[in-house]
Amino acid sequence: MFLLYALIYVGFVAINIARPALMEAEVLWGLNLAVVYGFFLIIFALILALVYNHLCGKKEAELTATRSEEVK
Amino acid sequence: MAIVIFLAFVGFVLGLSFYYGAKTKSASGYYAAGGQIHWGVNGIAFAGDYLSAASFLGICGMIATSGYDGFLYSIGYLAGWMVALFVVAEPMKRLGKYTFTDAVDAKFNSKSIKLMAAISTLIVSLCYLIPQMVGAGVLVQPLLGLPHAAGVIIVGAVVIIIVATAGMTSTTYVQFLKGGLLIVFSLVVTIALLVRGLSTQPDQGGRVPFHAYAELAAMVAENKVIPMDPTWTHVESKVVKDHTFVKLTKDGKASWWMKTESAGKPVLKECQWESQIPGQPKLINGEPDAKLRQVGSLVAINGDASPTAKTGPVGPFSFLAKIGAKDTKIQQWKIAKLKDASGAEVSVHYAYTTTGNKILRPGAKFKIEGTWLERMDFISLMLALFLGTAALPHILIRYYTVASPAAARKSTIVAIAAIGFFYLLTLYMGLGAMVNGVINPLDNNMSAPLLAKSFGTFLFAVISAIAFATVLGTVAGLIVAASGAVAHDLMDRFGNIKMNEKQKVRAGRIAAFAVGIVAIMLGIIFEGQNVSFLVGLAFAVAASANLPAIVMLLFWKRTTAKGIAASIGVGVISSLTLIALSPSIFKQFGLDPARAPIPFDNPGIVSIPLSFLVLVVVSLLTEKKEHLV
Repeated sequence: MFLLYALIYVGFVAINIARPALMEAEVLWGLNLAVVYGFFLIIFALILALVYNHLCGKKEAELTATRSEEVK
Repeated sequence: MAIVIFLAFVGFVLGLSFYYGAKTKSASGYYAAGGQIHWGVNGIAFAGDYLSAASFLGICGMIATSGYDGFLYSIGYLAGWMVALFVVAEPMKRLGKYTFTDAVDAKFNSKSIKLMAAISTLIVSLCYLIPQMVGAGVLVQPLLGLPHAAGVIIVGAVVIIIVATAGMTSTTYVQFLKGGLLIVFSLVVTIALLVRGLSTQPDQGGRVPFHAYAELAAMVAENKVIPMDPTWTHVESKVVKDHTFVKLTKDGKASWWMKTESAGKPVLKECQWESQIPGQPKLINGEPDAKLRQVGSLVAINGDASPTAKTGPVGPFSFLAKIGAKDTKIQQWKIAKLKDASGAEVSVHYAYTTTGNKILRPGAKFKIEGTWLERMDFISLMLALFLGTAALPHILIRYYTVASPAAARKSTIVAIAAIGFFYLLTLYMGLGAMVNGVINPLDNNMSAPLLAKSFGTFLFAVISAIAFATVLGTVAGLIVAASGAVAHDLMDRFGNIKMNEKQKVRAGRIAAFAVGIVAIMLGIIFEGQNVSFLVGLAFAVAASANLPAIVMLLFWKRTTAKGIAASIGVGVISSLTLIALSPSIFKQFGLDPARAPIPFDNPGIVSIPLSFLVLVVVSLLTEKKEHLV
């Protein structure tokens, strides 16, 4: 998940450097790529964080269950 | 009212501090709040720590003057939290006790790591403290009418009292309170902004009449730009960076104008100006004790340049779409410095027009279409912002205030939600300041509070008090981190000075006092710099010094104690050296930036890989020796 996010972040920096004019292009609701990509990076971070927490919580619950069975 | 709300807030913060101070008896209580803070509270406190003067004052100020380039900081700062969440949060909690040094030294118990990590914590904290103190000075000027230095000293004194009395518990609750209030009231300002909508003659809701800058038809005769209107008299012309500035007089009053062209004919546009003959009082727009008018407005909205052009209330997407349109024009301001015929040093503030599509894309501040060095500077900044968050000592120590690694993870997620939401609002507040005529031409750091002021004194008072608490809280967190480096890492663990719990707390408090004094002095020296820019540099130092050590310790088994110590040392020295020799620092100290030996401002692209490289090389060279030992 970290690598996925890092890749998207690198993509953002790369477009800025290689094709800065592309950032002016209108993509959604009258908003340009710069705004949409920037908002996406912020919102996607939260989505990934929630998914990560869900997976970690699930794993922790499994481990706790395994440990309590071992104790029994 | 502003002063009453401000004093009430500071009084409450101090009361909270004394309350928790009475309870703090142990080193664990002082440095890590006993490890008993709830993850939800800690998450918002993370937001409080992180949404410092740089985020609220600096980013909004930079967006107000440079558009989307300021928002790049928001994106980079938030992205950095992904490194904190995925790489650092849980291992830091598992490895450490009170400080960053504890964590990197957990596997080795090495004197050299203790020394280098403590020095690094101290230096990064000081680098981060500078912009906070500068922000404090900036805030106090309009709020209490005091000079910059007084603001810095007030913040320094209050924070020293907070930290020296209570430590991490009070700092956490101050940050929780402030982080929450900052987000709520930023949302209030944003909603008010959208309800007000856009207009070509912003008058701050009727509070400040819109000033339409005059234009005079002119002609060029004998290399002079002369107004057609004979009631004006030409005094002198000066050319600065391809712009011609003309001094005129009318009824004995002097003023400065800039030559432009309209339909192929020369036109003189009214400017604002400050002038000072050495030893005499400064004149602003020709008057003593006057202030420059606040600036920033729309010239045309979607092609409509009439003085009555207005949108009425707009939606959040429509607001951005209208400002970013090709046929929207925005009036921005620059400054030109010259010496006039009377020997006065003159700063002429002149307006220029930018189209909306250039405002809402990168490139106004960062020259991403410039030379390869300028592009590298941009990459370097984005790299430092991405990697710096997870290496900031005052963020890292917050992982020790919760009970478990799972709580550390959950508090990071709460922080990401709160901080991410706030950063979305920065774009609205910054652009709102840009088009509502609220920017102080001398210092963009106050753009967000001044935008709040355009909605009334109450909102200004609340926002200023929160912004002041923002500075207080962040400075408090940084001073706890720095005092931990001195008292816990250097004195207790490196120097082996035997202290009981009470003495450890006292040592921390004395260290907090000393660090606070240094921070006050640096805050005064760096007056006038954009605080977000300064924080960007602190991120670069943190990412260079601390992050390679943390990452390699967790993910490379062959890492050695000497490798970590060398990497931290090289990271600190290389990043600080590159910053000291950069154009911005040359400019800050009155030197010619073009003569700076390092041609870029952001050191991360050199110092971060260098620090990683040193860690790998030194670890490989010392691997066998350390295993034998």
